[in-house]
Amino acid sequence: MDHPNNLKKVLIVDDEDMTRVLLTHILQRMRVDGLEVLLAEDGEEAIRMANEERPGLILLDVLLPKMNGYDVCQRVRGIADYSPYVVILTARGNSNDRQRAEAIGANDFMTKPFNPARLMNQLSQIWGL
Amino acid sequence: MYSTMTKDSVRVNFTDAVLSDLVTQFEAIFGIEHSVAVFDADDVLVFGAEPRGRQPNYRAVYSASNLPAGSVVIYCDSPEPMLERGLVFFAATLSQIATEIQRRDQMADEVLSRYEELNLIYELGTKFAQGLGQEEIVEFVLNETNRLVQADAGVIYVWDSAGSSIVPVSHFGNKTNTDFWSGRIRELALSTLYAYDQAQLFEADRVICAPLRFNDELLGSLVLVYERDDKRFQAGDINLLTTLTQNTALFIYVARLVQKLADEKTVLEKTLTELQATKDKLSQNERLSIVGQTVGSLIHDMRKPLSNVMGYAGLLQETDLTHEERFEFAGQIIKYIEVFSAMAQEVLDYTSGDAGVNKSQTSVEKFMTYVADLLNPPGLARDTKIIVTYDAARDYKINVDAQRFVRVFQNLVNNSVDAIETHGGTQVDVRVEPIGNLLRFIVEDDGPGVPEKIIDTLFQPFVTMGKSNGTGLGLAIVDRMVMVHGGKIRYETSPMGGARFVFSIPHE
Repeated sequence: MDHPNNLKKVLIVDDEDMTRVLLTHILQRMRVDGLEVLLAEDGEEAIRMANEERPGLILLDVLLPKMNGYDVCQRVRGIADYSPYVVILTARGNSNDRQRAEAIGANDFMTKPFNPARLMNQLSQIWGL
Repeated sequence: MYSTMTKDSVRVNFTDAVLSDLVTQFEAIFGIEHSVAVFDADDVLVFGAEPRGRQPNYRAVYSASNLPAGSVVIYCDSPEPMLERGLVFFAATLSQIATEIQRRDQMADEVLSRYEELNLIYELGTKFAQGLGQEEIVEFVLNETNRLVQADAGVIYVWDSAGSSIVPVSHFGNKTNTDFWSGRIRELALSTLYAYDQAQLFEADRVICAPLRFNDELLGSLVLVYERDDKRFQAGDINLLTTLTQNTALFIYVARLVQKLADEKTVLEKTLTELQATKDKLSQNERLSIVGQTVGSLIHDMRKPLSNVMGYAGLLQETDLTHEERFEFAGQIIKYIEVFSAMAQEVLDYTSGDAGVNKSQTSVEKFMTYVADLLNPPGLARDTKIIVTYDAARDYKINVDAQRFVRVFQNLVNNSVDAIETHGGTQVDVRVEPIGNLLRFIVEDDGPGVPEKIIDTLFQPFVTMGKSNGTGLGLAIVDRMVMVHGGKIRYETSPMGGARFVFSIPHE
């Protein structure tokens, strides 16, 4: 998996603050050096931060105010010279969601509610730990 | 007894006094005794000497209304020519008297039949007012007809309700007469309806048919049969029958109308019952569907804090946690269980409704101090200022369930604080002001205000302003609690720029 991005610079996009906090806690638990966590509450903010901060990893919720996660993903894919690793977060997680996530160019898929152990395992793979 | 008339003779009922007086005077003039007898049109002795087989010496016919009415006879051993002339004069006198009697009887007959008609119509009206149906009316009419015109047999045919055939509804008289029950009478009745329906009466061969007609609609036919030759209809009978049939037709028409309406009412009621059942079923499905949506919405909302609890519990399972991390994660679990618990309380508040509301008297000061303490707990530092003002209403008494009424202020202020913390703003004002015999409560803020599209449905359950940790029941509970305390809450835009909720309740 070759990503020229800084995968340790993570953007968490979720409209619920409790989810943002929990994900931050989980990321911090990984104890990786150089971890940088950015937070966005809605789709528009997510795109703005992607443009400005160029996070290498985006954890992206689907149900968002202003713009949904799939649209955010497509917009991010349209940014020149930038291809972050995008993980779609969804409460559902049936095969339709999975196919749709793949179709719009997401790299991975995580289902809510989060099982921290499984999530940390997934993050270890992404980070190549 | 009255005079009766046939086609070629008249029966006159002289009173005994009239004949007695005339005969006595006649015999006195001619010096004879017990020699004069008066016979009627059928040669039946009506007054005077018994013939005892004697041959009459002189006979003179008397008449009435130009029809032979009978004869006067003299039995005398030594008749004189004068006596014969006297007899002619006597017969002429009798004729005059007979004609007068005949006229008088006709008039009396007519008056009586008019009276009978009126009485019959009155009786018919009475029967009808008793709510009798078609068959009872027809039977009554036929019985009355029989009493008045004394036919030998009679029948009333009525079209069946489908209008396809006529059926005898009521009858009297000689049932063994095959003519009567088989084709002929029925044919006559039918021909009255078909061929003679313009005529009021059809009379032939001792049968009289009268159509029962109302408003150009033929409803049936009244048929009377006479088997005796001596029976003849008179003008009064015809009037009576006409009146009877017209009124009977009216009553049958109305009785049918009433029956039709009753039938339609039954059908309508049946349809209505079915509709109601369908509606009940639909609304039951609707209710089930609402319950389903409600439960789904609640579970969706309440699963959020639980999934966070699950997340932090998963983190706590890690073995190499620092003391600070352990403390932080456990704190998060406690926080989300509190969120969950608050949501559960909100659901309970909403579903328990007005049940268990227990009001008691307290002062505005005491109650608002309690509210202020709950809204600004000591030691909690918040960016948003919450200002509670009640000086003008301090000493008023209110009758409230403090535990539940305070939720009104908690919910409203928490909404304001959430909106301000998310979208900007600085303060929330809670005020109480006396206005006449009411106390006005205002909760307002300088936050973003309520989005226009949800203002109309603001107090309905499950309408949220986008809060992530609510059940959507907060304002529905507020609305109900204000109502329980005698007020009606409304939303308006605050002069401070944000949301403003206002309601008034009576003070003691």
